[in-house]
Amino acid sequence: MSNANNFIDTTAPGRKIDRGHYHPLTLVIRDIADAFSSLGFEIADGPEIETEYYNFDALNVPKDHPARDMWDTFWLKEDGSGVKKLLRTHTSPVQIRYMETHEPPIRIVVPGRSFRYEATDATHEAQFHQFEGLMIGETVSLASMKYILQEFFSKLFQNETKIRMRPSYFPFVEPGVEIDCSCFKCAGKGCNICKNVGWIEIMGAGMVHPKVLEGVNIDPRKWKGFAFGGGIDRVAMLKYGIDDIRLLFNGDLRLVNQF
Amino acid sequence: MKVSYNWLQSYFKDKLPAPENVAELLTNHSFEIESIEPLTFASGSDSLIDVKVLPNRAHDCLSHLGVAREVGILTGLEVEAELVIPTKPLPRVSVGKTVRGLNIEIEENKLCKRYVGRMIEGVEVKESPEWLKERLISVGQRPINNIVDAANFVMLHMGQPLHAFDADKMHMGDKAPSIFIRRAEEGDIMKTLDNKDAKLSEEDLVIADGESILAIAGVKGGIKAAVDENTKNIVLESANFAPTGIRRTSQRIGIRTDASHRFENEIDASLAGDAMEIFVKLVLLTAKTDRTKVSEIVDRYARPRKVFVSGFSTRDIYKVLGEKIDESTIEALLNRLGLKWKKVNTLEHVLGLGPKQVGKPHNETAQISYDAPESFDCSSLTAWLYSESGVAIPRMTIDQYFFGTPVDIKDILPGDLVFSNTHDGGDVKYYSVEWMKGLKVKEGIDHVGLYLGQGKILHSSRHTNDKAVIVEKLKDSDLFKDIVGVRRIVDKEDERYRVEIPLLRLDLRRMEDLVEEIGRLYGYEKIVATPPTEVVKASATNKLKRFANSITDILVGAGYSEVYLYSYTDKGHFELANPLAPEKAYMRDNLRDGLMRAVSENLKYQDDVKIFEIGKVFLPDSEKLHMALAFSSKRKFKQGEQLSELKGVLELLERTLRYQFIVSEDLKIMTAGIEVGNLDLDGIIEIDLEALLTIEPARVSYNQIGRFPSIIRDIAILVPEHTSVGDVQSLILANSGSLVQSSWLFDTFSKEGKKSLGFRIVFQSKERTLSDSEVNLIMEKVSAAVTAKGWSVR
Repeated sequence: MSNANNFIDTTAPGRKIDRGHYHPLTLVIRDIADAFSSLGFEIADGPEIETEYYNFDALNVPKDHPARDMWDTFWLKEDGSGVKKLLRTHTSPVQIRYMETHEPPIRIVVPGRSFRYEATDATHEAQFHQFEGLMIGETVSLASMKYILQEFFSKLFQNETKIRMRPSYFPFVEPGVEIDCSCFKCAGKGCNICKNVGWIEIMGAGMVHPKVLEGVNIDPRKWKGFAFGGGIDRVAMLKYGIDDIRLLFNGDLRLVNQF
Repeated sequence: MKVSYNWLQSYFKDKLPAPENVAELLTNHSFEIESIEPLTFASGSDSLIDVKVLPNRAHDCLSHLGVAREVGILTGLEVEAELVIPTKPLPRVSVGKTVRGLNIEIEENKLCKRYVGRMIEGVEVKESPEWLKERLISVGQRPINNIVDAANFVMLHMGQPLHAFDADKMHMGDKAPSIFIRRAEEGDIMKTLDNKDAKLSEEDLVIADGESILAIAGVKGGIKAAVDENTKNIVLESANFAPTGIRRTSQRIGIRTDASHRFENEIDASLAGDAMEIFVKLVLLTAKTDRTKVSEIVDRYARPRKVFVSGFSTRDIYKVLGEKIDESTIEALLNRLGLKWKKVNTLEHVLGLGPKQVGKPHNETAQISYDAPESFDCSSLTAWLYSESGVAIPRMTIDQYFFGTPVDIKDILPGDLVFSNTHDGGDVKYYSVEWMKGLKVKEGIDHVGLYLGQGKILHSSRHTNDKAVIVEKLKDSDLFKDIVGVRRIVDKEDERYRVEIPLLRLDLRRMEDLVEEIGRLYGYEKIVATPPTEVVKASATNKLKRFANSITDILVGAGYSEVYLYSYTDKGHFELANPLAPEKAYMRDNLRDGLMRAVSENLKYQDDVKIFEIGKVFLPDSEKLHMALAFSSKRKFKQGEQLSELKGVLELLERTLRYQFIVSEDLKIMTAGIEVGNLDLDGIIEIDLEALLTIEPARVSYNQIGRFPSIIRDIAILVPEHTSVGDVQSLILANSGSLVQSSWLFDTFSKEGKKSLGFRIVFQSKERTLSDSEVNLIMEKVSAAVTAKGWSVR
């Protein structure tokens, strides 16, 4: 093939062209946003410092209700405005903000940062990322939620994915469910990712509570909606096998440079 | 809620499925299971199932009986009507004359709905029997003595917290110990059972004996009347305290107990009576002596709650679940749930019930759950008639008006609601209050009645001659002289399941709650994933996210790696009331500081660090999405290297996003005259992406490709070291005329305190081929200007 005159060394390295690296959360957020965009969902967002009203009251979690204990909350020091502020404990307040300013039908997905007042360890962080979804229409039901989420997870994990709903409770939905998806690695047979159960606990969801709709002047007799919220950090950790959530936020390039 | 499997089994004659199978049933239909642990006792083995009972079911399921009822529903096994204990059956209670009486006075009816008390004299306080100790130990409780253990057992059995006082330690007034349920006084201090001082305020409800405080109601007992091994005579308490008050007190004084946990979640007051029965029996079983005497029950229960009625239609099931469930299945599920139901034609039910209320007194402060059907006001009558028929409508007149479908009075049908403004000085409302807040009716409304047909109206009349529910001719009625509108709630054909809600199920109120019961028992796994049939519109683009994404792409392409850092830091405009640590007490107001720290951390492991972050910063007036990038190295930088890199990235962004950035002398980054960021000589650029996005980027438009050849000239200019490139370039452009197509700096070096700048200039005309001599003339003009400035052309 080659002779002395036209020797080509295809094994010699090329000129080094540097590039940087995406953070794994960005990759997951983009996958989530792409999947939902393809299903006709708009990407929405909202403030990370929220008022007590949007984070709790408007979501049917009144003051002095024990359901408040479901969210350990970082409160801001009083600023004299009389409005109690906090770091949003979930992306759900964006549902309210969006419904206040848009008429149904509605399809949004909200990837964003949230905060919980808790001690950190390998699986718990006070700062984390959630993606919230909301769909409101005249024929939206739990069966449509199952369909949309199956489409979504199949696209996200690039693998036919089933979802399972288990009864649960979140004050802003009724019925409320926990969503498990079939394991993207073993497709339900059982493996280390799903701890041999074949299912991965992935999000909370349900049909939007009529009180939440009434509160934003959407007639719950005409309009039905579903909402869900899942952990982005958790998806990234499962997908890439990252075993310590704190690695995502300490700025260590030895993690980022692997992506 | 920690549940002992053996204890659970005691509610069933039939054998329960294995613990794992019970757990699986609960998982799929009721509750999440946190864990199952094996337990071993001298008497055998047991399993501890940790059931996650969330606030919606904390009313009825923070107890073994509650969970047993749920298991009964799921397995179809029958739950025993009476409590079965491992040894002999519970004794009968025979009431005797006690030496002491017992006075109970509730001073705060809103905070204490019910208080059941009973005196038992002549008990023997000792260790509990083995079976009782084992029950308590199995769920992680510490046995204390037979009285206290009995109270705890009954609470864990049926969810009602109980308490016992030593009667001899209580203050005796009139030969009888008295119990006052009242508010504490500001600054009161009570020593708790575990010998700690609880400081109280006047918002806290206490149990007092006329002299001092015996217990913080529903939260914690005090040491004063504590039952101990010498106790002979006891007062038993089984009460119902309002959830909000308990929660506030418990949070304020920082004491959470099994009792406060149950009360703050609200339990039904009917439990208090049932629990007292069993409490007394258990005390007799374990503490009876030949001197034991049990007093009559003293029950202070001002306003028992009425059975709540709700309902749903098969269409509701389909609308919410998206699954068609046939009627026989629905009915079988309702039966399994133990709900008393009836299928009704809604209007027939309303119209059948309505006339029966005639003559009931009019009551301006009527509350449906306590006063109906004994007395009504106008809207409580209509709301009650519909809710009794399985349709929840708003409580207030004005809201009922907006809830119903408008009907012309010509088309009025039986069952329609008629609204009027009585002009009798009543509380006229113009805006909806709770239902679709803020809707307006300009005529104003203060009265409602139910149309019965044949020109007759049923209403609770506040008219001085009536003061009762009456039927009269609509056209003759004083209160309906000024009719504002007619509204229809349901159609003639509307059929639904009218469901009576068991008292303990405080979570079942609305149609959706019942649909959830049907859905979870039916099995969510049977719901078929169905594509929504909604019209799909192209989703709007989130411009800010898209913008951030393109910047991320550009920076990654340029060799920068992305980091996500913490939003809280050690300084900023917003301070957290409860930070995790002092250095995490503020919300960041820039990305720079965090990025600097990340740079120095990373320099421990690599020579060059190029990183960026896109994230929120928190400024006094708003949150903004910022981008910051940093370039740093362990190496010693060559002169201008770091700045040149940063400017290079900035220019890359400029070219790609089509903005023009100018870095001012004070290192602000300006575009279109607006400050959008800054450059930091530590090697950082920070840009406010939201400010940048408000600026329109340059439009792309096609420039015709030149048909005539271009001519290129280079010029090297020697200038003093501190001359800026911008100044030199401006001079060139100012003197080179309109034929310049582009020009750029292509070479630079310093020598002996001077700096040489080499520029390349491209000339081209759209109309003709340029001649060398023409361009030479221009270059001479440029050279002359350079010389005139005191610089020199090399």
